[in-house]
Amino acid sequence: MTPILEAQGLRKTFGGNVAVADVSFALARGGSLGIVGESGSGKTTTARMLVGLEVPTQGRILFDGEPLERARSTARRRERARGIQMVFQDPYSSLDRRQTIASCLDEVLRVHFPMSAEQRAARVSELADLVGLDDRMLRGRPGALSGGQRQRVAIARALAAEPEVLILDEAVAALDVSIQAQVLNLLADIRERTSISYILISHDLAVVRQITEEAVVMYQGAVVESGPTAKILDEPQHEYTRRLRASVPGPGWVPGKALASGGAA
Amino acid sequence: MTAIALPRTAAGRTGIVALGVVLLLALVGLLAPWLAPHDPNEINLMDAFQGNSATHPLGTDASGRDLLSRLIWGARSSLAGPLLVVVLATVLGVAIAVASAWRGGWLDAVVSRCVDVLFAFPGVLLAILVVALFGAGLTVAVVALAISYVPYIARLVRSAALREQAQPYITALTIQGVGGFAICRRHLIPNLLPLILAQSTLTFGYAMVDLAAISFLGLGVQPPTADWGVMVSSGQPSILQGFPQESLYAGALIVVVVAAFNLLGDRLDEWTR
Ligand SMILES: Nc1ncnc2c1ncn2[C@@H]1O[C@H](COP(=O)(O)OP(=O)(O)OP(=O)(O)O)[C@@H](O)[C@H]1O
Ligand SMILES: [Mg+2]
Repeated sequence: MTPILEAQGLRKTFGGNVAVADVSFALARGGSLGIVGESGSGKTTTARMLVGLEVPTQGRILFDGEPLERARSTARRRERARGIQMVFQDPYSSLDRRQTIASCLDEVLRVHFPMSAEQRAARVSELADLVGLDDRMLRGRPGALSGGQRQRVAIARALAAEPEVLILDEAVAALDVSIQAQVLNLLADIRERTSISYILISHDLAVVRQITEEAVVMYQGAVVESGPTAKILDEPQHEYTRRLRASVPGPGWVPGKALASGGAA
Repeated sequence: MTAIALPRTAAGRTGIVALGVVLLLALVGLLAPWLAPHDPNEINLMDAFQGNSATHPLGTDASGRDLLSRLIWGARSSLAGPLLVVVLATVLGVAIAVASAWRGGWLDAVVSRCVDVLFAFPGVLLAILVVALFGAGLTVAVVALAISYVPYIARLVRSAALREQAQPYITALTIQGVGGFAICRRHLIPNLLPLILAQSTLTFGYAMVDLAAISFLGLGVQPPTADWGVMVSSGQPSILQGFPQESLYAGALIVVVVAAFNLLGDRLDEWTR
């Protein structure tokens, strides 16, 4: 089966500064891929290329086997938006503080689907249900929500366009550990129900282990190791991965085995 | 924007007082036909330079026109003029700033250069030059002054827009495929509105002084129309004759309104920080 998303030799330079040197990976349809690496290793830049915010200096991105071109027209950007969506790290600045949650979700629906106001309202409640937000939260503004609730909104917003791939860039890093667990459960749950695929960017190996089957390790802009997540984390081949693992408290700890999806785990 | 509760601090209360003064004067201007005891332009040379009396509470000017009525009617052009300047300058300035910040590239480069060049000219001088070229009158003065303020507003709003559009929520909208125009109109500009409002309020004060100066020079509002700036100017000869009332009252009103707008602008600026 063709991978839903494939990166081939991606490279991005800013002036003389190499942000991403050489990144290749394939994301299976319905799969979940982790990208780990220390700060500055080029993870976010890679994600920005995938969603079309940056144009790769070299290499290409295949979506469902087709190369993604630079989207110039609004129509093309919307098409891409329905393919790949993204959730950001900071739940505080990733929502418009003046907009109610309902109108934030509604706006995305209006852009993508020819739905009536009632249909959109119904879909907004559905999305809210999916991520566990109640009606009162829907009517409120981001200021009234906690970080975890905001991140649920960001997830619902990303899912509104019904993308095939969801990129989560450190999406739980800003949350408390217990809230992190809730959001990760939610993500695992959503994947089971919708056959969406994830790319999870994190420097937290426990998080990556919990919801990804495949992983790539990035170091100084390049992929230095890739394979099944469990294998990479338990038997790291590359020197850098070993150091990365050693720097995490309690290596070898396997959180919530029940949650880690089957397959490779 | 944070919810605006009734301010409890002394500074907050001066803000409320300033707002009250401004609203009151605006109301006076609106209700001029009912409030003014006399026709502001009725000349009665026999009554020139009257002191305070029951018929003329603030006395009369050199032509025997009732000063109170002229001040009341004068509130109209004296307040409407700066308001028009501010609205025009703000609409133009914000449009230019947001377009240039959003598009970036050559447009931003060109706009920034133009703003820098216009910055080098003092606004009033530019406006006086334009008025001298296109003829005196309130309309020309307002348009000229508005244009001379555009660089100030554009520069401020552009840097705020650059900061705002770097926020992840704007990036999220871009990734969603929302068009640039819609993002600017529905998200970027509304989020800059508190700053824009504070700036407009401060600009009102400058516009009032500059317009009064232009009218003082005889290039703005034309006599015999009652206007505070015009009154300061046309009261001048009377000062020499020992009757400073006309210039004094009109000047005092201008000072009060400018002070009120400055206070208000400062408060808004603080609230929105
Ligand atoms: N727009 C840009 N202009 C110049 N350099 C950039 C730009 N974006 C990223 N970089 C540089 O590229 C490198 C990779 O940055 P990137 O944000 O992709 O790393 P990251 O792996 O996401 O790090 P973190 O874990 O801290 O988020 C960094 O050295 C960064 O300074
Ligand atoms: Mg990053």
